[in-house]
Amino acid sequence: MISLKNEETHKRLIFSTILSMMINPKKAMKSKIDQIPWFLSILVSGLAFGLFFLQTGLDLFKTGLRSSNIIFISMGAGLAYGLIVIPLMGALLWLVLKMFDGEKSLSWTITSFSLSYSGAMIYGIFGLVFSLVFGWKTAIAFGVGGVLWATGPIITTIREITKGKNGLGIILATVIGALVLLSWTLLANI
Amino acid sequence: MNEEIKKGKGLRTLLRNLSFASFGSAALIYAQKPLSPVFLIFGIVVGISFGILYKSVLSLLLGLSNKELKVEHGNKIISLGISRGLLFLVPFAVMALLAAYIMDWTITTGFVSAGLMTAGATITMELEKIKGKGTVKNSLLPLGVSFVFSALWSVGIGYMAILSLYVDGGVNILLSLANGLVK
Repeated sequence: MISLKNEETHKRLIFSTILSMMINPKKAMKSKIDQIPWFLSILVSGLAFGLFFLQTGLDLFKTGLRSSNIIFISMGAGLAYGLIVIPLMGALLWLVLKMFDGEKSLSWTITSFSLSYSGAMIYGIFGLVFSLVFGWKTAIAFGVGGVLWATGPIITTIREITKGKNGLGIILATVIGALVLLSWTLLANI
Repeated sequence: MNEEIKKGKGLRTLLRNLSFASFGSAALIYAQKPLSPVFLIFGIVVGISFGILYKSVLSLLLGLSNKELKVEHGNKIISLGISRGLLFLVPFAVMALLAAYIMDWTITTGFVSAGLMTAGATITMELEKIKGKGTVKNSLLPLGVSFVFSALWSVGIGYMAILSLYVDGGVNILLSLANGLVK
């Protein structure tokens, strides 16, 4: 009974952190990130990019540019991107911020960076519904829209690690955002 | 605090204007003539004008609701919070330029919406930092104004795109007339 209650509390914590990272990332970082295991956070970024790339595949299939295989290939590529590339970017960010007296641990940075894509995951769920139910092409409106929303939490993550260094946050968030957009475009054109 | 306001003011203004100019040029880029100076200049003017209006409305409303802060730190203190928050438009502006000029996208409204909402949230944080505590007014006002301006951009940019074609046509007529006169 106790473990069931704990499980319920844990689930609530995960959902409230995901919502908080979308609406008020600073609050989530102050109070919740420490309680979320890093492997759960990369599930969020994995799902976010899986859904985003899945919609890209669906759009390419709908426009008749590619066969139905592209749907599964895209989804797989998205999942791999969110599960492997995003945590690696988080680790790289930690390494860079270490040079600027960053105080947070590697697992905190990866967790916070991966959870920055919480909004992208929620956008992705809505996008998939609109794509499947209404037949809309949703990769740019919902997929890219979601990824853009991650910029705010990423800047907040960098500010939190560097104790409010705005300039560094802006430069690194620009590089990360541009890299994600360019790599998505490259993958969509393969 | 006065020194803090002056420090980096020029760079903040430059980056803010460059961000809005990028949004404008990315939104009004004409697919047939991506590097046409007419569309580029018109986009830059629209973007910067929009930015000035957005910042003015924010300054007015936040100034009215933070009179005690102005009494304590001077009139420019609200501007400091706003201009620091607006720096966070830079990543979105760079991505909008990439999307328009490298990836050939024609719709860049999402970059402006996400940028304005992020800037709104950051202005709230900056004001909290200056004031030492958060208030509901300072949390809602920047976000509310950003939301309204984001909607204004989404609706207005379509009309501006139509207007840009007339401006381009007008400039071409004037250039032909000028060439005729020279000959």
